[in-house]
Amino acid sequence: MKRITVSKTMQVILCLLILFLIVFPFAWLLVSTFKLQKDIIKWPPTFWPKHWTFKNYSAVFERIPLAKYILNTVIFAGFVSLFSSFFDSVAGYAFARLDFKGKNVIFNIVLLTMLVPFQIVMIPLYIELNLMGILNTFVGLILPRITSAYGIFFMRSFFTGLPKELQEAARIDGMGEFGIFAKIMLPLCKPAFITFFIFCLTSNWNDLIYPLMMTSSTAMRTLPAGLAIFVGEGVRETGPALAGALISMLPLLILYCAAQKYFVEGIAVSGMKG
Amino acid sequence: MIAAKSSFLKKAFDKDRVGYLFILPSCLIILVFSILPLLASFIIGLTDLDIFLATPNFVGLSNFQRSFADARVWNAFANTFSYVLLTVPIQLIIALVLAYWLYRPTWFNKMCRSVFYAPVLCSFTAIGIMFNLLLNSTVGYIPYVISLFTGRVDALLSDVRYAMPIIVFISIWKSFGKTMIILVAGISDIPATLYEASAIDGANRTRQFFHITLPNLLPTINFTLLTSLIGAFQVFDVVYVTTGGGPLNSTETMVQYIYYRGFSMPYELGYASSMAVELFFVIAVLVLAFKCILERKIKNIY
Amino acid sequence: MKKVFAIILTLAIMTTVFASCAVAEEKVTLTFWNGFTSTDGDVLKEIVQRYNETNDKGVTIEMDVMPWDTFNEKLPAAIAANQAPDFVLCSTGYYPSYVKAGSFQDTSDYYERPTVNKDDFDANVVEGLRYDDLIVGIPMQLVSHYLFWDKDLFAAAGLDPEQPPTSFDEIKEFAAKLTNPSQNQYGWLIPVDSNVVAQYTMFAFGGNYTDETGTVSMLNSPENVAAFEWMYDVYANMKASPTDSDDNTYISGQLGMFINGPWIINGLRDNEINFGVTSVPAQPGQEKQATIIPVGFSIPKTTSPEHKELVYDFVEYWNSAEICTEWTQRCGTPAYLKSAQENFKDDPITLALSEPLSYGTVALKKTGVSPVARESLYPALEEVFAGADIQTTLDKYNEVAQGVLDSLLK
Repeated sequence: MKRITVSKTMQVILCLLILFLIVFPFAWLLVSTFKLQKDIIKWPPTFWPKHWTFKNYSAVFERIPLAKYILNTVIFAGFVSLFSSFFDSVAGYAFARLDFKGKNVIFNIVLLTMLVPFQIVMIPLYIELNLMGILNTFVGLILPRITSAYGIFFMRSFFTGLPKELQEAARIDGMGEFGIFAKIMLPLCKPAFITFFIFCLTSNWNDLIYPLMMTSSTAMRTLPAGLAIFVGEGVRETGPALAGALISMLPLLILYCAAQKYFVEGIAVSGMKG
Repeated sequence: MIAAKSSFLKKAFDKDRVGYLFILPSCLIILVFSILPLLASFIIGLTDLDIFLATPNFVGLSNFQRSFADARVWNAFANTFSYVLLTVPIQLIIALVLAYWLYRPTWFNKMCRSVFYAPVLCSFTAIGIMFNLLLNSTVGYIPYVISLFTGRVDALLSDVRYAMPIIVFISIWKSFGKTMIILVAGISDIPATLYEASAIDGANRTRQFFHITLPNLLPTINFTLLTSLIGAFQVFDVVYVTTGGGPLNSTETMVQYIYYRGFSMPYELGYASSMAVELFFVIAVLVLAFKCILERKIKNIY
Repeated sequence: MKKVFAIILTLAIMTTVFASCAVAEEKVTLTFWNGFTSTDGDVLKEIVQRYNETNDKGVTIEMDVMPWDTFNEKLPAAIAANQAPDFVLCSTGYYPSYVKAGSFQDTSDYYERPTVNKDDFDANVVEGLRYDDLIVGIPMQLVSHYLFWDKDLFAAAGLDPEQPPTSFDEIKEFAAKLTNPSQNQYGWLIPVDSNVVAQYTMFAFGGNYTDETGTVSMLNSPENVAAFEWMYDVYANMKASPTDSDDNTYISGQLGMFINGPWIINGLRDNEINFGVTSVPAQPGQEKQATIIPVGFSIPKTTSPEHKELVYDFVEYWNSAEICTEWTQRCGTPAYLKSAQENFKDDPITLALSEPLSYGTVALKKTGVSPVARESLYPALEEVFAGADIQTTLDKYNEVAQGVLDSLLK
């Protein structure tokens, strides 16, 4: 009994240490956004501001159409994630629970598409979207992303873990495969759906180079690309850049807190199996 | 006519074929927007195309020959491998241990899990701005705190000895939360009866971890290991926003070098693509081998 | 299930509507790309907006600002795909690749317009924007590099705050006095990932990257060896330079002296640093040298003649004494129009900034500095500072530099 308490204490101490490592940079960032530029860039550095100021925030609000950029990011990342969660569930389900010829080969090919860095396919993709006439449109921005190998892999892992009996019982009842998926499997995968939705939303929300490359209009700028204007060549506006970095994190943090109940607890209910 | 159509439909909805319908939309998108550009870049790798896309000459395998003689390619591969060997296992172990400690939904555990996940939500642009300033040797808070103990101010990111470890630290800091969350879900799914049975046999928590948790978690570990392996081989962002590959190319990774060759003067997209093909095959072999081994193990258990 | 499809259908329709909004419009719109992020980009945006509101041709300029890296990734592909903007800003450093690919139109006809007075432009700048026989750009701004010094740190170190160093010997002497490790304070800064300081040190000792033709690498010349010995002394022996730096280092108040461009001035003012600025000196007996980096308006080959004329209208607006003066006042870059220079007769800082205009040249015009610097100069600096023998290192990287030059000139 005593050994358990010692190891428990160790656990708590280590967790607290990691908590500190995670929280400290954020705390420093938060506090620094209220500093004057000259208090951020000085030696010796101080944690607390000498004078509190909102100048950095007002600079961000004045110079960036923040609402517009957030709306664009919501359109881009939101639609991508909605479509992707749906299509990846459908495909992931098939790879996990249906039998058809060449299943493994096709799945491995899908997996292999994850292996090429985006930087290298970016030019061919740009040309392709242009040939299709959808460059500089939201359709062109969203379409290539509405399914992802990662998502199919993720959903496949999830569906593999669901009990086989459910499927078989439904088949005996004469239900079609689409019916089984839509009426039995899809409701069960809600937590995985939400989890992947958040994964997908996060990566697209934070993507800088893809939306910058595929759109050429300030009216279609997303948030990370908009914030890039505070980090210029030779000139650095440190205060606004920090405030901008913090603002860009907020929407996702808020959404994450709100969806947490489904997110962490959710996937734990029905589980994940390879 | 109608009969033919309905029999066609019937065939399509047949139990053994309906799978194709399920994967059709995804496969179509992947074919058009991933595989086509991928094949295009494979072909570009055989030419001397630059990003102006004007005068491609077929050069055969000479790009590949060139890359074998290019010392920076070997250096970049070595750096990439050391990055992969450091981040993937460390991150997995940290995530695994924390997931095992924190999977029960108590107040403290939930709080820890949420905070550990927070860095995953941030963009590398934001993380880069934050850590560059924190680590800067003329105004940064971290060198300042270190100097209070050592009495001198050390440069961190520009020191060959520290640059790679710092990059490894930042990427683990940024992404162990995601692995942990997936593993928490996996652990929660292990039937409680298994633990109860072994507790009756007198097994302690460490023993339970190795004999129950770990084997039952293999499918989930399979997923996280493969995806983080793929991600680590393609590491770019964290290097791009911190050291940019320096000092002395000691943090230059493969994708970093590919990007440099393709997108700075003289913009050798052909050469860059040929190196991307090489990287592709290296990852493909490793990932498929890992997948085979892991999935065979999983099959043995179940 | 029906519900899900219904939702997805609605979403699809909505996206199409959004998309078509972006396409349909029937005005004369000129598109304009550049990499002016940060505060000077704001000034540029303001001036463009003013032009949009006041011009009598009904022209609207739609400006898209992106980081220069993205700019150079995207513009070549956009030109190839016929999706290029009507005009761009491009600095001379990027010319070689673009000109070789035939990406830009000749703009010499700009100076033939009856309303344009070519004599008002600084001839050095106009010439800087030429590549071989092509006038690739029309002046938009010009930067060079200067020696900045911190007057307060000078006074604290017992130096005359009004007397900047006049040679690199003096820089070394002053740097020693200004360096104070216990305060994390340094006299000088030699970044290893920038060509600027190393380049000016080579200039000061009479060296350069190449011979006059710009085709033969001279990295291992005796003058450059002397320059590297000077830098090694300051960096490694005296430890008078921080070993890592970014743009924040210059405005931290921890540097006694440094070389940088005019863009740093606003940062110095924001951080309340009492600074002086002058042209970079040379060693005794050597002539002062400087590089200038002109940025010009360039017109991609895909732009129609009608749009080209409309772009010229805007360029004329930009190159009026009034706008040139405003840009100089707000962004600190030297004025290149003679009619605008008149306005800065009593402004010592702008005068100091304008000095290199008369003798500055575009470095490595044929090939651009950055490929040579990244492949040979940076690694040479890093290896020398890590203790490698100077002559052997420079011999090695001289060959590398020659290879880079050859491949670019081919």
